[in-house]
Amino acid sequence: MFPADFAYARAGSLDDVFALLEQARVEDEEAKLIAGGQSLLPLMKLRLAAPQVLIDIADIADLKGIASNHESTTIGAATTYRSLGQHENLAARYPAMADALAVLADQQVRARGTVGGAVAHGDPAADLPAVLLALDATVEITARDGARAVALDDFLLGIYETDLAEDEIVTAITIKDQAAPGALGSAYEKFAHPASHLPIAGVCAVVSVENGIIASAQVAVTGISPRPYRAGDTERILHSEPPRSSLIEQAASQVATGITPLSDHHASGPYRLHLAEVLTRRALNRAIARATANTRSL
Amino acid sequence: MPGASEVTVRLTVNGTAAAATVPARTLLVHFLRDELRLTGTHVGCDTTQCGACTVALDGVAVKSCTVLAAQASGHEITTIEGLAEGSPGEGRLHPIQQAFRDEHGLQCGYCTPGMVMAIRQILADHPDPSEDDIRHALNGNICRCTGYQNIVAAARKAAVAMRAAGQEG
Amino acid sequence: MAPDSRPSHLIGRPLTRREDPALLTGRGQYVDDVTLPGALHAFAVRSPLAHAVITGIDVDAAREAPGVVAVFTAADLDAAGVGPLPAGEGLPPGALNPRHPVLASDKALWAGQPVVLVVADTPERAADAAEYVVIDYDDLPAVTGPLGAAEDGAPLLHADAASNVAFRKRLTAGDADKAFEQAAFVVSQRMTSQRIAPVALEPRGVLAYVADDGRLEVRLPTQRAHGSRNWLSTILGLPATRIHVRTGDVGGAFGAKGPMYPDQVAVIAAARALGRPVKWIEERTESFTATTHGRDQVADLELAADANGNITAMRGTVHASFGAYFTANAPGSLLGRLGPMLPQGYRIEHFDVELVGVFANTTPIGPYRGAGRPEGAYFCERLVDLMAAETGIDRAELRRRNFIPATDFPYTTCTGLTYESGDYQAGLDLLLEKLKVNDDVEERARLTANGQLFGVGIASFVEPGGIVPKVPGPDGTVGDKATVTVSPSGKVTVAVGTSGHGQGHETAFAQLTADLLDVPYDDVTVVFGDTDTAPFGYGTFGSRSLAAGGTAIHGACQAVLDAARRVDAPMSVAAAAARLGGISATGSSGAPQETYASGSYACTVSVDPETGVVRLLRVVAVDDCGVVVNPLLVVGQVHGAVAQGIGQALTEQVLYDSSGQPMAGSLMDYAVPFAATMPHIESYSVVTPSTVNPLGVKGMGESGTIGVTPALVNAVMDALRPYGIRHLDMPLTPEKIWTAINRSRN
Repeated sequence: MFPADFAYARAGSLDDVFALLEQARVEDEEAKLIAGGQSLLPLMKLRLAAPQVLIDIADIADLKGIASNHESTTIGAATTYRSLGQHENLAARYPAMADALAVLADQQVRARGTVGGAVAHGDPAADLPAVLLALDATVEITARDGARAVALDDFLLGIYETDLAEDEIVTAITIKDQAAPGALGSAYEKFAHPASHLPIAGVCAVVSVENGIIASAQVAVTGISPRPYRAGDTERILHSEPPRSSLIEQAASQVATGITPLSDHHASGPYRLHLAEVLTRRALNRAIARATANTRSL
Repeated sequence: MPGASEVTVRLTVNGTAAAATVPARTLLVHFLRDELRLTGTHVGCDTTQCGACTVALDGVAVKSCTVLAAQASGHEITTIEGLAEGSPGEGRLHPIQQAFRDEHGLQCGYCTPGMVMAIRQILADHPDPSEDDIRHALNGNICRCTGYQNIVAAARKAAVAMRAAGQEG
Repeated sequence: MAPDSRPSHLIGRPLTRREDPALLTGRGQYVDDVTLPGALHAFAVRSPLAHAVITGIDVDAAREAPGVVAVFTAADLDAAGVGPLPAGEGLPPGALNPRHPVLASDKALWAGQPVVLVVADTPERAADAAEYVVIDYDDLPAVTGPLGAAEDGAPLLHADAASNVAFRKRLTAGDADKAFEQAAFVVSQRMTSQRIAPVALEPRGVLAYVADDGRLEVRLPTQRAHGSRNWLSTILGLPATRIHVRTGDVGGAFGAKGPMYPDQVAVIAAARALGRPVKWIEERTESFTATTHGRDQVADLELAADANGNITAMRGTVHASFGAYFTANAPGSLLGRLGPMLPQGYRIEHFDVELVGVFANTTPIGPYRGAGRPEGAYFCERLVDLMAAETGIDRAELRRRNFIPATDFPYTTCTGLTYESGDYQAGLDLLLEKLKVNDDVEERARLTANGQLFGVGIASFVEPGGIVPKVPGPDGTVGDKATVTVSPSGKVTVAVGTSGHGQGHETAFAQLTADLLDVPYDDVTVVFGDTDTAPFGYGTFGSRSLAAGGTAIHGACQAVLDAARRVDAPMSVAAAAARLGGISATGSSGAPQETYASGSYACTVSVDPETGVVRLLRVVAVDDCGVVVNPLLVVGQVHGAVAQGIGQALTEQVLYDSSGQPMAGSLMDYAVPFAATMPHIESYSVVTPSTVNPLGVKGMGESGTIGVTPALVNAVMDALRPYGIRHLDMPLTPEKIWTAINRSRN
């Protein structure tokens, strides 16, 4: 229930963050950044994590805000799920994001948890990373000596493992406007654990349909393997094909090829694989229906 | 060591300024209960599931067991004790509290403060919620006594009452 | 005794509760809300292993940790003469009844058994210091299930015991073997009522201190204030009069706040030893191993019927795990409830069931809502559904054909229980009527068109309640007491020995008293849960409070009325009290037999064959709890109990791995129902007054768990009929259903 003792510092700027991280490093202390804390604090309360220093980054102006232009949307890392859900533009453009936000955790956790936290934590069972992955999101990372951008797909490495170094901070997530022609449709389908509400399996499908043909398809899966992943085989089957139900079934059946699923008392491997297939079919059907509706409204 | 292992937390709780110096690891729920003796906010779990600790932070419902008092410093907190005061209408009870009473929405009362604060948020976001809306939005709150049916009825009754009074929370 | 037939105007009215304003505004006083200057805080260090020899306990480093005032081990408690915990009660002769130490010393018998108690100035520092306690364990093989534990060669828990079987008790009537030989139809099934956790929202805890007058003050959220005091008296070697137990507000219990727990005793002993207040509050993850669990039986039972579908016999064995040690009332749940109630509301003449109680390396079993009755009803009602399939007789018709007729009461069952009143046919008829009336044929068509499976299930049950344990109180008599005092100003105080914890007793007993004395409702105050101000009683559990506490109140009110009549007649109680300078009288429940409530429940479900997900469409509940004092409270109890019954049926399970490691460690794993799980519950009633108390009331706080679980399982099995799946054990998780569907296809 009670975290182990730690020292708390509130950073007012990115410079503050780097200075504090450096100070901790020099004093050989484990420091962690905390924004919403909805992933970190539960671990600390169970003493599964016991950093000696917590650096609060929730106040840093550079991490806030959602900026949109014709080419891309940049979401500040300290944006809460709640704020994200209130951004009408994003919800309209990417209904999969609205789908995910409606089933992610609960209203209280969404009021504190942040997009940066969702990405930096490396949780194998997390809803939003599946949507961001399907949207080809990029992670903006800043260190004292510079910034870099990494594709989310390259950033997520494994169970609680990411490409973030100890002296780096995620500052934003960028979603480029989907380049494929035609009308865009997206959907997120989830099979939640009845206690934790985490995704035992979750699938996000983003498709564009032009002239009755799937011009592009992006499918990301979460919950069944050590990290959320893009289902390349599924995407290839769908590409440039008309969305017949037999095609959807075939594509869905390949969503987990080569994946060794997680297996525990919550759900076995074979069941997770099966869920992934079912959810892929459902996500694709809804995404295509939404794309079709968008076509009609053009 | 960067930072401090004790922090002076200054916040406004139910409209009143409060301050105390506490270990950095102090959770907001314990700060409210132990430092300020506002024991209406309860602890029912340790994995952020049950919602009995729900309070409003800057007007938005959060789980106070998963917020550090240090994080809340500089912000405004509303607890169950602050709900009845200042609410318009007759009696001392907020419409949500009154609806709970009318609909027998509580039995042991332990989840109730968190439920009321959660429903306050639900109604702020959906002033005219369907039963489904309410049930889904309550997935951050556990009740073991009521089977939820009367809680949902209370939420719906409160929604009607608050819309009629033009109230937003 | 005929129910009281005077006119009343509050009994039967759905008054909203007087408890609510305080609870709604955050002014409840649960144990953790109480603070005392100088209070210390405790943390229990528990065995992480299910079965181990303890070879060393080193608390030196912990004693030196910041803020630590004391660290207690079994040796310390032994030296202070503390312990053991109460033994199992109501056991057959020759049963094992192992001594349950407060803190473990030479062996740990379950993962979660407390070994060391750390006491420090803050709860955080007590938790920190616990990490410095070093306990050496030699791991032993563990056994976790009732069948495995009973086997020859199973790892043995208790010293001087040749097996883990604590007792075998056989209940027989007639000639079951002959009935089975002659039967036209026989159905046989192994069924499990899985181990589940009560999960009251308020964790357990205790605050204890020695008052200035030397009395031991114990703030204990318990269902049994007087019982706890008596237990503590024995455990601590203190006269009961030197112990004051107060429950304060209790945040739910469901049976799990009935037993006396080792952690609480250790904390109370610490407070005495240190001469300072000590508080302990259980953490939720801790509760999954530290607080008693419910159920955990495997039944191998069969039912025999003649060619007309009359059920003639039940036969078989029920293995029940009790965890590592008995709690006082756990044996009663099996021996007094589950076993004898297996025939439910049916006329079964021949019966031969052996009840086997076993120990296993798991958390001790305690009463949990229903306490033997949900399990018995589940086993019986699954068999009845299987018999319906076997005979081809409609499931409702088969039940109706075998019910005890309404004209046959009082009826003594083949297991020796006397049901005083009931009309099971009327309950079932009402159920079927309501099921049909609100039947959404269109929705069902939509579901099946979408590939969903649809199922309907029913279950009927009979439920004993109102038990008065045959244990004399301090005055040497058996019974819950109530004292009714009328002040000269006419204000009435009712103090009663039951102990509500969310049921609304303050309201219901005030309604009852106001009607009985013909005084204004607002002039009545109800008091319970404090051994100083409430007269002796057995507490609140087993759906007993209205029958037992209500009867005691009735008796006390009669005495008050008699006193008023002796002044003058007619004279109001208030006027008589003014004249006499106050009136006070005590009543007792006496020791009547139990009441027998009943009901019939139905569930309709849809099952998604693609994922195995069960969606609950409707729950229809018909309950007969005799005379209803406050229908609002009754329906609230139905809702809550139904939710817990649904939890057992669909999502809840305490799981252990093969080494005895608990796998349901927190609410992240253990799935209690949420609001979105629950359908709208339709609740109806039938009334057959009880004849064993003057109020005509029967208990019903647990009915929902008893009725809905078998109805829901029967509904799911009905939906799975096309696949020829005969039986699936609870919880009916999506994966389990999907796997069964797949297997049946191959």
